[in-house]
Amino acid sequence: MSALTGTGGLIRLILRRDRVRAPVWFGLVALLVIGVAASVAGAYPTEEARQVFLHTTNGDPTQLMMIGPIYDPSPGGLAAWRVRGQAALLIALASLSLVIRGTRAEEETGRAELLGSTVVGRHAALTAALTVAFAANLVTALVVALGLMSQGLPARGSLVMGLSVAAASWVFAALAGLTAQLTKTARTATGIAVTAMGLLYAVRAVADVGESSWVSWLSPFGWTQRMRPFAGDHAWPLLPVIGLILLLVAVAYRTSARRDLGAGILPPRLGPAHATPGLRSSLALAWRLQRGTLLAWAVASTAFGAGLGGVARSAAEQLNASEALRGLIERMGGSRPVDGFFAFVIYLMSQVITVYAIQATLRLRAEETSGRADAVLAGPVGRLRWAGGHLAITAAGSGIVLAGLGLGMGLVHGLSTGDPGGEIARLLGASLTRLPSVLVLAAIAALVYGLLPRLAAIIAYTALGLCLALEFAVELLRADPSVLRVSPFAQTPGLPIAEFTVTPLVLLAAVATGLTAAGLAALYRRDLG
Amino acid sequence: MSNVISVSGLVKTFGRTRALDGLDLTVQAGEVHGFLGPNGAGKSTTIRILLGLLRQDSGTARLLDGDPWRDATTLHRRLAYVPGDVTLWPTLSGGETIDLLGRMRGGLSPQRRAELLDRFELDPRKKGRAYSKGNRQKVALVAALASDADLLILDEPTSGLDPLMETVFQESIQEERRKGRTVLLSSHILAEVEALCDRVSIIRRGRTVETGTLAELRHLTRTSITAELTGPVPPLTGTAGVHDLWTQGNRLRCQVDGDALDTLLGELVRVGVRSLVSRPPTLDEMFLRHYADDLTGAAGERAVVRR
Repeated sequence: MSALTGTGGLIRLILRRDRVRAPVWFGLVALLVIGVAASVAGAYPTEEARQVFLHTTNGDPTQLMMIGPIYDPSPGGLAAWRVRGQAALLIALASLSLVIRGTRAEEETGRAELLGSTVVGRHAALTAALTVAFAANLVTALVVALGLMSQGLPARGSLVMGLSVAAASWVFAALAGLTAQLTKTARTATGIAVTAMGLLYAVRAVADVGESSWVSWLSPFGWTQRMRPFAGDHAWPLLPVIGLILLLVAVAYRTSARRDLGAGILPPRLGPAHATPGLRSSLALAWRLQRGTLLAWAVASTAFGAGLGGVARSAAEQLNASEALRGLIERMGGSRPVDGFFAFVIYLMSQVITVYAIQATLRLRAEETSGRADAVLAGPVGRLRWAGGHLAITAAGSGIVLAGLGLGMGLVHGLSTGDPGGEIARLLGASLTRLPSVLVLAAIAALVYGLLPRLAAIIAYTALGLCLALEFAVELLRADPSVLRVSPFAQTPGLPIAEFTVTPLVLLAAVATGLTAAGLAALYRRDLG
Repeated sequence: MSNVISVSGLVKTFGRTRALDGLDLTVQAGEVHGFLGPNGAGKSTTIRILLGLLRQDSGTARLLDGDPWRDATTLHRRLAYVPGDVTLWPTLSGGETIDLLGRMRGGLSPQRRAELLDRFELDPRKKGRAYSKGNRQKVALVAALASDADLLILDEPTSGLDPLMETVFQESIQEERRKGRTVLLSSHILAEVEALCDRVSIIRRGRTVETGTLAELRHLTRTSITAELTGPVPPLTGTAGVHDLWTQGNRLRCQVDGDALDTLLGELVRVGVRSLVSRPPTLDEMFLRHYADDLTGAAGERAVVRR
């Protein structure tokens, strides 16, 4: 029996199991690219408008950081700029989750053992998962290319655009194939791969803001960016991409060949034989379960804040040089352009940090479905106390992650202005002002968990997605900015640029409390498990 | 208070599946009560209602003189539970889990804990995700047995244990019985139930079909007879209460209902008996008799949902 025996069967199994999930995820990415391309053409109909837009964008460090520079003022060039980065991130996430679901997650649950006892070779699972992931990306690339061509965009550019998105995703599929060999749990394997993805995207962001080409070479996102769809259409950056993929896959197979089924390379450690005296309540347990995730988010957001604090001054100078942006900031009431930069990134980051808040809230669901909640609830612990403990940690944790962002920004920026104390106080305050908005989304998650537990994750993340989509609609489709009023994130004052007002904060806090209370009331009534 | 658990007419439906269909269950104080039934009969659903995790659609359930749903928190101080499919927190060690569960219930004796760990040969330092199924069950068992709860609710607690550990488990439950604790033991291992239980309830498709002591249940069921006679076997086919008759010359084998035993023996004695072996029904046979209809007749409509 060769190491690959049974790969075909496993491929069919993955296709059968992910027959809804994969087409939706990959399909939405393709639709996003095609949809944005269609709307860009309408938003900037004339060559002149596009030239102006290119000029302001390439002078705006926040845009350079989040997305990168525009290479060409054609409709295709703008579309490529606007959506390539996000599409690559989303589809890479889809790829790495597909690969880990097909490999480590199967081993962790023991299903792989069931399959492994049949005629299935050692490398079959890894090969099947990688094959499906690579093929799904290729199909997505072709769909994107066809979609763009159907809008009258050049064929070559359309194809390069599709491939550049898929190429980044291939890299992370291969990386996930490797991390799945290293750890015992799917969660850790995903965590490592996603962290690597975030760091490599951040490297690209730093490179683009600093206009440093050698830094950009450190990240696969920098390589695929160099394919420049509709602005030169290069195929050669695929060479380093393929090289890296081959390297990762080779290491993954080598690791897979040398370990036991179910085991990782990073060894499992023994724990203490006795619990610390503090571990004696459901709240203490919730803290124990959540602290790792919270620590990771707090460190990441502080580090990211420090990075933003570091680029703030040069960013502000560039903002000042751009007349349109300076005018905008002045109209919003800000005298210092650097404050405009901070207000914008805090607004944006608070939505990213909401992912933590939703994730932490949905811990309740994971505890319930795994049956671990039963062990606690069969003890003298009421449902409200059990759920309340997790939610209290979520609320406090969201505050800590936001504070980390403000602290990082304030410290690094303050060191450069010579007033760390003052800057930390100001930016810490500005970040924490966003807490009520974040908590409203967490409260929506808690409400749905109480009412419709099966749909909790989908509805909560969709709500967050809609808030981001509104932003997109206003920015790209020129929708009336007043639609943003629906979003809890637009309700909190945009410190440090805007005036501080306490009323919206109180109102949002009241809404969050009300939604959470309704969720807990529903939880109290329903069946568990 | 003589009844620790009293359940009557319990009904619970999940969508179109009727998991419990008028189930009755009475567990008296100080007894070890066996709770038997095939997969999907409703054992776990009943237990989850008793724990206040599910709410019944109709019928009544009383637990330790309280309402399992409304008084869950206070009742749970007096009971310990071992689920059939134990899942542990992957990052907590077994020892931490035992301590946590014990402390939440109001503390556990370190001495008893050490003794049980030793007896079950469990390493408390391993992380939850590193334990095998049997060892996860041991963690839950040690946590439950180390508590001083009045009532133990055990849902197939030994399905992952090896025979040696099964013996250790049985010894531990005998000890608990001597201490006067009440145990509700849902199980598939009939030898275990025969060894431990004072009374049993057999349920099928969400209903109680038999309940009583093992002796009472045996009385209701068939005894198997093997005999060699001094002359040819008399014509017994058609005799009321005699089943599965097999004859060959002077020898016969059959199953006989409790109340037909007298008639049958009379017939045999009239011919003259050279040897006779009479064996009371094993629990396996009683069990199989109740489930046989499931396997043949209505196998298709059998409820398969566990929760």
